[in-house]
Amino acid sequence: MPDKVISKNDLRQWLVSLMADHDVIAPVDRGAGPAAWKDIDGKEEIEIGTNGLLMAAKEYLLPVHDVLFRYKGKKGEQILEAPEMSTKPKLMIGLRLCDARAISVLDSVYLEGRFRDPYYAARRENLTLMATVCDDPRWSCFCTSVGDLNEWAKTVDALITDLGDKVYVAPVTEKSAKLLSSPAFKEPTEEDVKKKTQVWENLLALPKQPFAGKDISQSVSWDDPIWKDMADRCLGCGACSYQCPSCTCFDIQDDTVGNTIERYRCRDTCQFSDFTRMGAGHNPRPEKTMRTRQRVMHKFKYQMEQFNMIGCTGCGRCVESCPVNIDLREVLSKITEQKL
Amino acid sequence: MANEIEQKIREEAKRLLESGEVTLVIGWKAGSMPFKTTPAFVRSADEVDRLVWNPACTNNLAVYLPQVAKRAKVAVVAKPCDSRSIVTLIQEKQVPRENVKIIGVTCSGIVDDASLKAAKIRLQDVHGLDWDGESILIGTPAGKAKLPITDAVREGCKTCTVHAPVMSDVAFGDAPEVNAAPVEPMEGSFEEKRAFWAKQFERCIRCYACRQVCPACYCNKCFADRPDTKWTSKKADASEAWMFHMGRAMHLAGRCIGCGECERACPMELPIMKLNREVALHVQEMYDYTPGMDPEADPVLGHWEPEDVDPNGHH
Repeated sequence: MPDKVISKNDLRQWLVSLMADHDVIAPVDRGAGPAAWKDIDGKEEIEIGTNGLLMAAKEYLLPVHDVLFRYKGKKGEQILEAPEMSTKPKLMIGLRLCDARAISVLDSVYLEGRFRDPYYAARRENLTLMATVCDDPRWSCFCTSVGDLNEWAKTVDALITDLGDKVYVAPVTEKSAKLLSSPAFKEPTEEDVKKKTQVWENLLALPKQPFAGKDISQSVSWDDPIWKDMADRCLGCGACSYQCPSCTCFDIQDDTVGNTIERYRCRDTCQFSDFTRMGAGHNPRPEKTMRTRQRVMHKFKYQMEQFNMIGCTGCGRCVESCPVNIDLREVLSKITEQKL
Repeated sequence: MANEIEQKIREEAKRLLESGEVTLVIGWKAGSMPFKTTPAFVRSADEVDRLVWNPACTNNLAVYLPQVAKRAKVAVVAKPCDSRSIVTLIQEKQVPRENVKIIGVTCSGIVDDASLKAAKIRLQDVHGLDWDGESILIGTPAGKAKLPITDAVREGCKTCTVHAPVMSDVAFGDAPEVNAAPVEPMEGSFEEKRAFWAKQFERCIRCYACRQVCPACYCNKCFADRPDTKWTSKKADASEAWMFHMGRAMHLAGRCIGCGECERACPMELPIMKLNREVALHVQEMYDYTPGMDPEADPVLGHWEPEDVDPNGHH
């Protein structure tokens, strides 16, 4: 499968042409805040660079408001309605490599475990992933300390690299190579290849954290004093987990609109004090220390035991969004330095 | 090297802990990056050297007091903003005055990720941050950049008129002279404002960072967390977010002291302070009241007089 380049002007045209038989999911600038994942209509400002803030790919796969069904009741007539899910092939372009890795984590929870989630599956199936190689990692990034980017790159369908006025596209699977048939795609020059190789090497050279290469799942412990240190400072918001590309917890709620009841799935987080509180009042994690511990243990121990992969991809969103600067990199460094 | 105010904070913290006057000092310590600090919970005198003071001390530490100062004697390092929040907490009987030792510090403005970015600083390049009292010195691969503090502070700090703590047991630093810009009311017609906010609220993910970081948001049960009454549901859409943010702004009327922490904490960059400033302007205009200045004052909306202005023009 030959690599290709396409000018930025042609890229939009190409995406628009794909829209005839694809849903094209791309990051769209909203003027402020992280770019959002949208099923584009071709008119939006698309941001395929990864240097700005960008919502995690779960915003598309697990929307913040995910309707499970609607129930309409009139006199003598009740209708139960499933939401309409698109059956078109889908292309997601511009996600970061760490977010692609996070999709592997989501897959293990929503597709490959004991349960197969039909809503997630409908979006995930026939989804082509074209990930952008980061050319200017953010201050919070630590992907290279929690994984092997060369391995992560094999889980996507193509890698794209921003070369300024054009975009380098390196297909990984036949599925993505087939999408590159437009005459707008040209052979890359030697210079193009050199540039994209440099971007890849720069990314791999991202400075390693002190915990890199250590088995965090073996170091992390139930009674580590660090949970108390985190709990002192933690304010109990959901910024870390709502932004996290691999946090999957949800709540199910019913809203009534007119004569329709809508049952939907929405975000929930172990950091909230009422998370999984039972109807009868029992709260399994009444103390903040239990909640700060849960998030780290879940990602670095339980998911390792269940799925043989850690639930962190080093995207740095929790690091940037924590209002009290609880930096997961420091937490992991402390956990591993004590034990190993 | 510790600056002079830092040194004084540490000495006072040491004295308070050693004398047993308090069992906990809440201040700031160095964060994970040069442009970050993080709240410090100091419980023994040999840990006081962790305490720092610089323009990156963003967190309004009053937020912790309702949890920790109800039954224990604590000390807290307080910027002017933080001191005004403490005044509000005392007024509203959330924190007993006798349980809190306030170590006040004067302030000429605070920097955060957003304000540094606005000053054209690439955060990934910053490997050091120093402060000489007037300017911040930012170490980058290209050398040291010197930025007058007034150029790098948060938007909210540019209109701030309170540069010394309004209440303290001990205070360090001289109040700087800062020319405050006037607070401008929201521009535009009702429809324009409505359209503006509808667009903003689309981004809200309902993580409640704004609420959790706010010293005035201490309710045991927030109206937004009531599945029984459903004032607002958990549905993350613009209309429900609208209800939450407008509800919060109303609950903060006459209580928000304008520290801007909610806006800083928002990972979606919602301009929350635009709302709070607008509400504060109305409260100021209608009741001639500035929150968080006098612990003896009645909370403005918790108090009624027959001659109070009715916003609808009738009594």
